[in-house]
Amino acid sequence: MDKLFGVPINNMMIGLLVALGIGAVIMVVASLRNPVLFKMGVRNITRRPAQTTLIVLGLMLTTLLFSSALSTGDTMNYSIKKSAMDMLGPVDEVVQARALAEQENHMGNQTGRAQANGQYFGRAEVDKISGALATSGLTDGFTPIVTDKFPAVSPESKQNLPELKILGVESDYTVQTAPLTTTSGQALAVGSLSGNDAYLSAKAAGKLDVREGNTVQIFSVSGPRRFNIAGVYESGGNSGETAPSMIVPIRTAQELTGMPDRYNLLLISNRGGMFEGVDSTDAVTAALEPAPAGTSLDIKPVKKQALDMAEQAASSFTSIFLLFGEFSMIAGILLIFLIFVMLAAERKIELGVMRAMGSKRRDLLLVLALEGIVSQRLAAAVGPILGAVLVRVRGRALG
Amino acid sequence: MTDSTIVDSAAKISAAVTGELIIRTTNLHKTYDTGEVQVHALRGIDFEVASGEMVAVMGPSGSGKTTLLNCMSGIDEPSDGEVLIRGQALYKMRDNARTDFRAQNMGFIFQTFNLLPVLTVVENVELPALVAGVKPGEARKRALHWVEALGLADQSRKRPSEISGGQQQRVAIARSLVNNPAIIWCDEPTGNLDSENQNQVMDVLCGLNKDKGQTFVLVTHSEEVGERADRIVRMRDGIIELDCDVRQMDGGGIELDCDETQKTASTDPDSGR
Repeated sequence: MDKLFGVPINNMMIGLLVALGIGAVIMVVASLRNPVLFKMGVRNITRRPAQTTLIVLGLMLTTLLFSSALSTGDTMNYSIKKSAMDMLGPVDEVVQARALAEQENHMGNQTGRAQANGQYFGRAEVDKISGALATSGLTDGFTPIVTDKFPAVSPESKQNLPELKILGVESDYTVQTAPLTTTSGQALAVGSLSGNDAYLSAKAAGKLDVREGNTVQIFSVSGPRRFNIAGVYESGGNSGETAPSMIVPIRTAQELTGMPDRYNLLLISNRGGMFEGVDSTDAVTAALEPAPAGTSLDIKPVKKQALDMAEQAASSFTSIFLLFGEFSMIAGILLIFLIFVMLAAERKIELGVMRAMGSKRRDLLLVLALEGIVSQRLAAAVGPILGAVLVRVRGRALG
Repeated sequence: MTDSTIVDSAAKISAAVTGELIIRTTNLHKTYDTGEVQVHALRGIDFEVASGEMVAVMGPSGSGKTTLLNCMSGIDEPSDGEVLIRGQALYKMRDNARTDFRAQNMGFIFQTFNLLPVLTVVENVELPALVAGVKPGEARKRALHWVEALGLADQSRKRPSEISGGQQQRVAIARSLVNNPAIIWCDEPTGNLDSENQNQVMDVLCGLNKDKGQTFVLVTHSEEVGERADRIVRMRDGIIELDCDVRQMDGGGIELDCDETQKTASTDPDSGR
């Protein structure tokens, strides 16, 4: 999480550190100038253990809430990003037909309406994009696919799925994106699939109650067709897919959609790791902008959008909790103010004596302030530690 | 009080001690407004003290002794009238200036000692020096000097709760002396002490008065304490009833030379207001 309430967290941290430093310097200077006042402030802390405990707890509650809100926000950010990463794999951008982009606004939701809406494009567009990417040198993976959803049924188990996502991929699909692996870690090669073979996602296999060696029947625009399940993949092969899916050779998918030699999605992977690749998204988008011109294609920075969404969700979550934390802080300040008023009333004679001896009002305030600052430092030290413990405990509880 | 009365009174003080006039109050009034009832604690006090004098202010409870002391020392602002300390009008000063003036010129000794419980003996003693702006090292040096002078060297690191009442009052005396003030205000300085400790404390105060020439104003109920002063001022119902010089007799005992200075002038509570 980089921003909070629209302010960069690093700037906020620097501001708070400066404020902390100024507070510490004031405390040190005041203590050096008048060590007895400092001693009075500090020793008064241990004089009334109950009040001191109450003050520290009141202050600590705020730091506890703040630190746990921040760390929960980070956890949420991480979780959403991880989901996005699991979903997208190395894919940073997708190129698709403009009509589809406007209609669905999500790369994984194409349906059988694709053909009717003219969402397919030919090899010429693919080559145009490919050429632009090769010139930019910013990407390390590029593959066209065909994707659509069809009803599916398992003749063996009699289970069916109203929508099974079909991914028609080139033979180098796993090289351009991510390897397909089974639950036992075995790699699956797309190139070895024949026209009626398919790899089924573990999710789809679960829903259809099928396994390797079984068959699945698809009902497409070109009629029903049976596929032999050559393998069940647990990970990889991602193209923004969380729904049950099935991988088939691209020509097979084109036959299913009735659109020979036509594609409806291009997957692009930027250079760099899963996260670092996003840094090049703007450059890749800029490099591709001339290419889709004159075509019906749009480039969508899907990973960047997902990461931004994660950031925004985490930031909103943290902001809400910090807002609660701020209420707690205000309540804490009022509580502490009341306690100090009570302490001042209790020490009326002492304060009066100090005044008689020549202490100014600001000296008396300094004694109470020093007492408060030391209590606050104590709470500020303990609060985040307890916050971290709380986050860890909660993390374990939530698995 | 007329100007001639002030002159007479000053002349009388000058005769008793060699110092100049250090405290002077003119037509001092203090009224506490407690809502439905107004309490006239001081009803036009005209009062002078010469430098180096030890004055005991006596009278029954509620006569206004402590109120007079508080008003003269700048702790409690009078409702009317003026207080001059070393020629300076105390209540014409701003609060901070008056506080500084008090720190530089006055020391306080209270009946209940009023030591700060979180500070050690030496820290209690050095506190007035520190708030008066003396550097910490110098303040500690002065504090240790007075702690030693009052026989408290062994107790210097102890907290007030760890020493006896007599010792606590000596700490309070040391604290009042650390800035070498011209005036020391004592509110029932022996009120919480047994007779042995009372005599010890009075020996210390009288010794300081004699040796250092510091001015002492003591509020007390004790006749024994009063008899050791140079002058006894008796109050009743917010006015000064009697103002007596105390003469120590050779064979022991004392002789009082009294003036009923303000009895007539202040009978009317509204006089001079």
